[in-house]
Amino acid sequence: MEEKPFKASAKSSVKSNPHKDIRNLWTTATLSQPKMNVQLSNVYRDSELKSSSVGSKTRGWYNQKNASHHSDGGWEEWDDGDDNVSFKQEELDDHTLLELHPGSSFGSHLEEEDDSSTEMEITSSMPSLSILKHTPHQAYWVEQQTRLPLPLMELMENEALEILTKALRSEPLPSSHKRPWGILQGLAPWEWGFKVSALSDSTHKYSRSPTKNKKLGDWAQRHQVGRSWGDCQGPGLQPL
Amino acid sequence: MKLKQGSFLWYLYLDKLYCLLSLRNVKALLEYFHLLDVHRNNTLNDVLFYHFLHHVTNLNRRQIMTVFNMLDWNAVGEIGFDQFYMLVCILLAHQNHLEEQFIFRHSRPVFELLDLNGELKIGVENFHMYKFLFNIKKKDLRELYHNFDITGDCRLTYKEFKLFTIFTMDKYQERQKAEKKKKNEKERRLCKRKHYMKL
Repeated sequence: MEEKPFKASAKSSVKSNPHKDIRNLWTTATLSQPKMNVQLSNVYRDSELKSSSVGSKTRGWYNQKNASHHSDGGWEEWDDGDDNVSFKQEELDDHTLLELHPGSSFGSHLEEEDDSSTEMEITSSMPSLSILKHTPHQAYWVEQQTRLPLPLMELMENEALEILTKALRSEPLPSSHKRPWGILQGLAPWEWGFKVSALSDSTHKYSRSPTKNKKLGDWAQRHQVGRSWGDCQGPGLQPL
Repeated sequence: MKLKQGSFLWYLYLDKLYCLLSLRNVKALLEYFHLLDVHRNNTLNDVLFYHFLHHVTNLNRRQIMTVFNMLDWNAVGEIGFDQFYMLVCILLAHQNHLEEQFIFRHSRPVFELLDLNGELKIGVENFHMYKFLFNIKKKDLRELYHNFDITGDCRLTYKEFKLFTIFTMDKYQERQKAEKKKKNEKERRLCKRKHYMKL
């Protein structure tokens, strides 16, 4: 199996600069957008309706330095004595932009690419904040900001794959007193199981990595048929 | 309880004031939830939930199932995105030492989570069960029931609980101010020393 990105990222994050904060990245991205009091259900609904894809490259790369959360120092650094969370643009500088850390796991994907193009992308992303304000292509930049960064998508997919693989190979959990009867799909009352269904393409529509698509696709194909729990016996509840 | 360094949740963060995720974080979390939701029910069953928490935290099996039972407030054996989002906020608040602020800001949902039996009152055992999540120490618990159990029945109503959260928040803010003052003084002394050394 390929290198585990989490270990690599963990190692690299140890060396990272504690002063850079990944939250700066997120904050700058939302600054140009109008304030939205969006309810969770609306976000949920909207995301299902939207069929955005990570077709174009993201405007920056994750800074592994920014990602180091020193639990003691991280929030204190952020605390500037006032509880106003609306960050002003004047406070933002180049540190808020993303950089590629050479030792990062995300960087491992990018090492295959041309370094010069990487640098160009970084430099082109530098004045993104000022661009947002003054560029005629504001809609484009706003749209760019609504997309999730590619390294994050890959991290998510890798992690989800690992979790699902472990779940598939696991033994049933011990019984719980809260076990409902006749409600759960494909589960006997006293035996927790894991029914696997095919992963649809929509699960990895944001993934641009062909290997990742293939991995998820392979995983889905291997487990296309729902498992039958022939051994399950119990009143009422039958697996689907 | 610690989040695994380098995991997806580790890269999320809470808004410091409201102890909630930003819109972008929520979107990312929603994608993550959909990836885990293999059954396409918009829910996670206990197996998926267990392996998810086991992967991203250092909680043991008993603790994970306790959390699951806490979140499965409809007792359907699955949790939806709302509960998942709540859990992530709690985990991040704990990870970043924002428990007091989180409980203050979201006292009602936290109270309802702790009130397992729906009695509209919570006893000491409720706090004990979830102290690994909310980081409520024994000393604080004793203080809590001593000072805020107005009715004297060793159980807290929501109002009593709310008073407790306000009091804890005040103490937290005073602590922060004191620490900041100490830090500023230290820096000032350091600057002065450097200045004198230059002279």
